[in-house]
This record gives sequence, C-alpha cells and structure tokens, in this order.
Amino acid sequence: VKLTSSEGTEFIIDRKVAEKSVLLKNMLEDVGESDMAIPLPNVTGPILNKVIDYCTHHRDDPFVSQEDDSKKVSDDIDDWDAEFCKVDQGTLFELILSANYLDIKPLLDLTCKTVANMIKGKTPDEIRKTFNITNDFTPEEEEHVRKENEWCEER
Amino acid sequence: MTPLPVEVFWEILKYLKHDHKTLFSCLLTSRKLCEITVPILWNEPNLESPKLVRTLISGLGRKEVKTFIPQNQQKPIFNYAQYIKTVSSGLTAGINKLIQSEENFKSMYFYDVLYELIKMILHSSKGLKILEIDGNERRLNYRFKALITYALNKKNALVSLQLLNLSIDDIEEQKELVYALSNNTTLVSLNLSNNQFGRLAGTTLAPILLKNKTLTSLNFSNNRRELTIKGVEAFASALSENKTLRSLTLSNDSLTREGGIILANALFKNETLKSLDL
Repeated sequence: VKLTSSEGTEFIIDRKVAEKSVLLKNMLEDVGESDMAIPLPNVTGPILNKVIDYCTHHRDDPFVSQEDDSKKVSDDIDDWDAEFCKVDQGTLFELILSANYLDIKPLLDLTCKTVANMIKGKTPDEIRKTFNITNDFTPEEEEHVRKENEWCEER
Repeated sequence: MTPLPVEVFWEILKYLKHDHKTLFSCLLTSRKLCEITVPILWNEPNLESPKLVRTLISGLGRKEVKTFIPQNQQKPIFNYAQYIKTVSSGLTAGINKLIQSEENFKSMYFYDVLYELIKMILHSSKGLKILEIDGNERRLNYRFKALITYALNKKNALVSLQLLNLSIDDIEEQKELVYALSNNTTLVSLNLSNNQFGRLAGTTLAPILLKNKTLTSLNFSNNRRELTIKGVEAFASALSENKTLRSLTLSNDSLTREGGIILANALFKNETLKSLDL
C-alpha cells in the first residue's frame, strides 16, 4: 500500500500494517487492489513515520472494538509504548490528531493516556499552558463554577 | 500548535474520571473544557460531601430550595443531576453533614431532602445505573415506595439497587414494589440488608425469585425479625426453581433450625447458586 504525506513524501507499507487504521481499511476495501498512492493531506511525513512505527510494532495485536469505559485507567502502558510516547509535546499532539483522523483506536488511547498522565495534578493555569487555551470565563462565572464544584477538593 | 478537537479532550479526560482534583483544575481552565469536564466529573460524584449536596439542592425547584436553604437562591450553571450514573448510600451522610454545619437547616428535613434529591436525579439522569438509598432508620413511606417503583419500571435503567436501613414491612404493604422487582429486566444486584422486614419476609421475596430472570445477586442480611416457617418454605421453594441467582446472602437473619433445614433441602435442587452466606 502506498501513502503520501502532506508534503508529498511517499511511504510503502504492508496492507496488514495499513489496516490498523480503520480509515485506510475501509478505503482499501472500497477501492480494492490499486497502485495509486493514498494521499493523507492532514499528516506530515515525520508523524506518518511514527504512526507506521506504531502500527508495525502492533501489527499482530487483536482488534479491540469497544472497550468498557469504566475500566479505563491511565497507568497500564507497556515499555515499548512508553518509549514511543517520549516525544515533545507538539509531536504528541500531532500524533493524537493523526490517530483520530486515521481512526487508530489503540494509538489514540495510548496518546490520550499519556496526555492524561501529563496533566495529572496540575493547576488550571498549567493546563491552560499545556493546551494553549485562553481563559474565557468572566470572574463571576469562574466563581460559580468553583463554588458548585468545590467538593472535588475534599478528601 | 493546532488546538485539539473536543472529542479528543473527551478521550483524554475519561482517563481522569476518578481524579477529581485534576478534573476540578480542568473545569476552571475555560468554558469549552468546563462543558466537557462536568459530565465526566458528575458521573460518579462523591455524595458524602456536604458541599456537593448543597449544589444539588440548589438545583431543585424554587419552592424546595426556599424551604431547605433559604439563603441560597442562585440557580446552578449546569443541570448536574443529569450526569449522575451512580447514587451511593453516602448521600445520607452528605445530607446529615450539611444539616450539622448549617444553622438554618433543620434536621427534620433530612428525609424530605433525601427524597427530593433522589427524585430529581431519577427524573433528570440520562442513565442511572446504581441506586443506593440509606434510609437512616426511617420508614419506607408511600412517596418513597412510589419513587422506587418508578425507578424499577423505567426503561434503560438500574443495574443495582440497594435499600438500607429502611423499615420495610411485610408483603401486604409491598405489593407494588414486589411486582416491580419481579418484572424488572435490568437489575442484576439487589441489596435489602439492614431493613426491618417482618416475619413474612420469605413470602415477600419468593415471587421475585420466581419471576425475575436477571437478578444474580441478592443480599438480605441483617433483617433481625424471626422468619416464619411459612415464609421460609415459600422462599426455599422459589429458590429451588430459580436459575439465575449466583450469590445469596442471608447472614444475621433470624432463621430457626427448622427453617435452616428447609432451606438446605432447596439448595440441593438449585444448580446455579455459587456463593451462599448464612
């Protein structure tokens, strides 16, 4: 299977690796065998490289459809995956966006878990900085939200 | 840096659903993040907190709010009750703590507050799964009974029901409740411990065991009145026919020797029960 990243770099990968992405899997099923490269205008070369790394390493994992949300915990990441996620924050966010766009659920889970661990225990200000968010509350609103949810700080 | 889309934030925050402190920080970052965080945070809230009970009370109707906490007139920004999926029995402690800490809050309102809050949550929640009510030794009155029956008849609903420390009497008075429990098709776990079920409790429970096809766990411990032989017989006969129950707890119930033998004989015929605590 041929893929082209946003800058036009071509990647050739196994069909099995490509099929880790639900988006690509569906596309391949629709068009059948073809020599045409699939353009991925939303994914840059270096990120696509990382994504392919991940899919290649996990190529033989069983497909998990819908895991139970109640079992979600953020600390069950294996060594390879943890190493994989040791990238700068920009790259990590790009990976999340690509996993979301290509519909690779296990990669999305892994990267989201990593970000969840990153913001654990942080203050609102630190979280705003992490995600580049501006505070658009009026002081009054902020006070209400704080008051109504103050119970979180107990225990 | 490209901002992350809403559904991605949702994916991230789901991993922090038990980390209330971090979620609290997320709430205060921006309006958008606040809207994503509130439903996750209120999924399984800590109802033992008097501050949380106060927020819930302020979401009640005007009349109730005026009665319970007159100085608090501000309507909450969110309809928090709609996100609650688990009501723990800790709500009773939460209400009691609030009563103790507030001068204007009269202890006579305890049962009314408990009723109104559970009613509000039942009506607005979009998928309440677990309902635990600790009655704090009050009697299961008509209003409450109607409310529980409503909860049991609601479609997409309860998986687990716990009624503790309520004086629940015998079958004559519990027809609607027994009927609702018998016909319910979602409930998996039923806990009726620490209630004052009367001497005919066995007769009360028998039709539930006969008709209900989903219940796998029944806890009926600490109901201290001595059970009649007639009741035990009815219960034992239902138990021998039941094919879904896996766990049964009857510890600290006043079972006579004769009653014990009747029950033991029924257990021989039951093939599904895996755990039994007498």
